[in-house]
Amino acid sequence: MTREEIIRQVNAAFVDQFEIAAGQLTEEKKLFDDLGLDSLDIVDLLVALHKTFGIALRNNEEVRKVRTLGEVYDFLEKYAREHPEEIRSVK
Amino acid sequence: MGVWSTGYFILALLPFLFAFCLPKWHRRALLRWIILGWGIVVTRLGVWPFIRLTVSGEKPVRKPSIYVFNHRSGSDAFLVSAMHRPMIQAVNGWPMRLPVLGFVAKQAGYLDITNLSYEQALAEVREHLEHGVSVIDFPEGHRSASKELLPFQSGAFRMARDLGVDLYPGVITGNEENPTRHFRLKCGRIHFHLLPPISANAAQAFPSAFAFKQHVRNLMAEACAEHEVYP
Repeated sequence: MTREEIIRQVNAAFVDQFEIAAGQLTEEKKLFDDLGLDSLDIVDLLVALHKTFGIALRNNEEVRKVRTLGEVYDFLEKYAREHPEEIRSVK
Repeated sequence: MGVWSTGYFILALLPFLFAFCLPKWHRRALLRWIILGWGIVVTRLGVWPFIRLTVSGEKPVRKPSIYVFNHRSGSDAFLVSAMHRPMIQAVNGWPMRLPVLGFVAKQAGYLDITNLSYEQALAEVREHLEHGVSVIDFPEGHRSASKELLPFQSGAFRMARDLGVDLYPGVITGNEENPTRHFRLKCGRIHFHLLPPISANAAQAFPSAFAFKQHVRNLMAEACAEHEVYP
């Protein structure tokens, strides 16, 4: 899965789940400060990513360190590289 | 204000003591009425004619619901008495640690959400709603001390969806510096406006609690602009 594909699908999840305008979704945006998510919303985000990519992230330690949208893409790109058999495009 | 409050405390002393002879939910109900009465005395008589409060919008109903307000100053906790209905408030830890007031708030069932997980808070709120008690939340989490509407926490919106209850947004304007962070009062006007409720069904129609909270935040931002006392 390419980075572009990951970006497209993560952004689609943000638009569908959180109704955030696609134009706002840039790599430097902070999930809490810029996009307005809180810790409970992050759980919804992980559920949305589970639905999109088929991976369960709730107990993943590394995903807890993610602060920006770019870091979400980086995390998933790395995850796809390390676990190509697990990550898939569900949609 | 001090004279009115002292007078009210003297009047309320007997009912206050009587409340502790009652079973838990009756005690809580009586204490909520006493707190409501104090709020009305302070906001209507205590500061009159130096600060004038005007009220507009919806009238709250008996049906237990969740109410969310913007949070510009410490007076918001008193100004919600403009609804003339006894309710409980979800508060950060520090008001609960105030001498006397914190004790009374705790006994009346006010929720210290800083010490509760979402599931625990949900269970507490469900119990209050089942006993016919509405819950007030300030989703900004802390005072803005300005006209700015801070980012919202999603807890109250998530609860409205999870519990299937109506949510009333409301705005309070003009009190951004009343009192100041050092609890000094200034002469001026304050306006309280309650928006139409958002039904449980309408809340469920949003794809997430986040989308719901952002929608309500936009409504409240518009209402703040429309009802701003000092534009």
